[in-house]
Amino acid sequence: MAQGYLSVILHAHLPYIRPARRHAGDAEFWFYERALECYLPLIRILDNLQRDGARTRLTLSLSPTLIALMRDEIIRERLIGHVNRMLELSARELNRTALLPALRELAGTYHLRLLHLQNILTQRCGGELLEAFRQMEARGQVELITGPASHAFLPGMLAMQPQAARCQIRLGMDTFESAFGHRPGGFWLPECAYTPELDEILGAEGVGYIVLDGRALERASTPAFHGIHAPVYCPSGVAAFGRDRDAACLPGCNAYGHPTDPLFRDNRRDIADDLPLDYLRPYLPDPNTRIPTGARYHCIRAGDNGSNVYQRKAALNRAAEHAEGFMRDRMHRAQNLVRQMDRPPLFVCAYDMHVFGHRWFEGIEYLDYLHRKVHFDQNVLETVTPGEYLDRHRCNQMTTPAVSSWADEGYFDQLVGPDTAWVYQHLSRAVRVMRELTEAAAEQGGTEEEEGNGHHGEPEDTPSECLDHSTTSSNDLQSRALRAAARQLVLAQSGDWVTLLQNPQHAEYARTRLHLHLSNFARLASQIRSRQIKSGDIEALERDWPIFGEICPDAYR
Amino acid sequence: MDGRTVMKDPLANLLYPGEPTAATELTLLAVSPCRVLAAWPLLKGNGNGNGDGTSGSGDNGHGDEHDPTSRSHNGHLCLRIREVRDSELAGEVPGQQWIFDLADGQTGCLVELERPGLTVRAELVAPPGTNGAVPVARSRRVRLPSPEPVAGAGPIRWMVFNRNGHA
Repeated sequence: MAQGYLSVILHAHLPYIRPARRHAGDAEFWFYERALECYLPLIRILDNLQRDGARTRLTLSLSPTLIALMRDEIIRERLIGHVNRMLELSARELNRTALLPALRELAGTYHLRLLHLQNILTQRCGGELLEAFRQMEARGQVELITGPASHAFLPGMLAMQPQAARCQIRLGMDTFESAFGHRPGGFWLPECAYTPELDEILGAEGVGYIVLDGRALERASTPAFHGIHAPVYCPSGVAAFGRDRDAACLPGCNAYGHPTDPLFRDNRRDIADDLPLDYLRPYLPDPNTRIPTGARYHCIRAGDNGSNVYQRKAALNRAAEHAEGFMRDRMHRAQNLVRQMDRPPLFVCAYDMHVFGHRWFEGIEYLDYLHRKVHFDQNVLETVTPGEYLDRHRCNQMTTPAVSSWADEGYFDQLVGPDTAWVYQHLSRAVRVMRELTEAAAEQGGTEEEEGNGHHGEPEDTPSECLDHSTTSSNDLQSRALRAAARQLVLAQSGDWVTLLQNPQHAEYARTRLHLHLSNFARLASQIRSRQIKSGDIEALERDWPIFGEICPDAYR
Repeated sequence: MDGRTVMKDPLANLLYPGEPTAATELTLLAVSPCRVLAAWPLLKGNGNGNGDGTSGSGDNGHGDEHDPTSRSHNGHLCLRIREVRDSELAGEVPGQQWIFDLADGQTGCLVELERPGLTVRAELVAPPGTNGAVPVARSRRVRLPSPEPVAGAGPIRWMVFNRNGHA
């Protein structure tokens, strides 16, 4: 029996960035970039671990909006197009660097890597990333979980109306179920932001476990007996796992997952910034906008020989050393702790998945090395998922975890600052309006619960329809209008907008999205109230925002 | 004690045509042990609700004479943060309170309290000496977290739960 458990949890999220008929500029590119740097390489190393017989138990949290992007046909097609373009660019880089031996070798490595990734996307996954995750879950290699529908900051939702938090949780789980065919065992709280009032809703919605910052357990109503090294049960029965803060700062990286080790690749310096636009133009989705290409030839800091050309082999050796050091440290701690506990101590290592590959290029290989070493090189630690842990250790302490988040100070200061606080009153007001609309519709017998109809009806031909005629089609139109309004509200609640508002580069995009969703919501609310629903408007919104088909406005009642 | 104005609301003109104006939400959110955010919609002014003299795009059909939040601008209201305690005999007992003047168009305030772990409620009220006793909006009560170790915590309880949360 192992003397310690290692539970690696990777959380992946992107906001819903799909426009209906045109590219969303930089924002849409976020998905393609993450697919090439994180998702596909992760699939590759997990397949390789499986092939080599290395037992791996990894927990992957996929946010509902990311799931929707991965399922979207247009996005899938565009992803294949993007990979093909990057592959063409990498082939051209072979020619450009032909007379520069140090760069030429690296260009060759990148070209081969892209060929592998293209093969994984088109052959292994059949163009759909989710398919690979389904298979990995089926073979027991990963445990898939999800989070709130649009990655909303749940304590903020709760401060407005409990219904807002409940709808986010329920819709998130429904979206996951429609993609994977089962309810998720665990639930990721964005920023690990928790307040005890959430417990009742999480329990009622059937959440099995959550992951909190370690401080939530240490400051619990009755402090956790085993600290962060065993989960606790909240009063509703939801298990809460405490994140190991020591593990949060990855070796060779700063607290935000950006590499600091001089040998690692400098992810800030891309040929997109160095080469003429004419050279790059054939490979850019928008011919006048430079986007990162992934072709990066420099390391963090020049070595003793004065060269700052990235040395892939040396960097991977360093990543392997870091993985070894990390594992040895946990082994040592496990051997000390196991003598004081009635069970092997647990180390919950929860990260933003985009650290691995996107921020820290060698991070993907680091994960590979870590799991190989844990499997082949020692017998002190064993990898487990939180669900697997709970199956083995059903008796746990019951307590109420404290208000917390995984931010530096452990609370919500980074999420609720002077620059972003104005968002909350808009969301609060919209939630109240949504609740009034669903209650009014229920009194009129117009919600889908009464109709037993959860499907979208056929689009109306007429440009507008007056609901004063009490017909089935008008009830259906009202039901669609309520769903469309709820969808806009949920999209407005995305925690991303608050985060991006604090980033000068993306603040305008966040403001635009907030305004778009809230004004869409206000317009629909007006139409529903006045019983003058414009079917063309509903159709357009359904077409432009094909997400959350499972949404049920009744959750707001 | 400090009350910081939050950034001007860039969507302040967003209206909900037909929205009943019977109540103004006052959202209160615990941010950290000593800090709370109070946020409210831009209060309706005389006729347009924008507070800047421009016309609103809404058609709410409600005259301001029925709107308890009708003030010419926020400057006529204050934010009151009250400490509240529970008493077995008297129910909720108000404790210490702090009052902040509000600027024109202000829709939120981050309040720094003197000590952590208080239970507070926020109210929008007229300035003291006018009609300050009657709040035009009231938040739910919020307990701020305490960073200190819990004193006198109860005995450790152990439970067995199935994965779906049933004991």
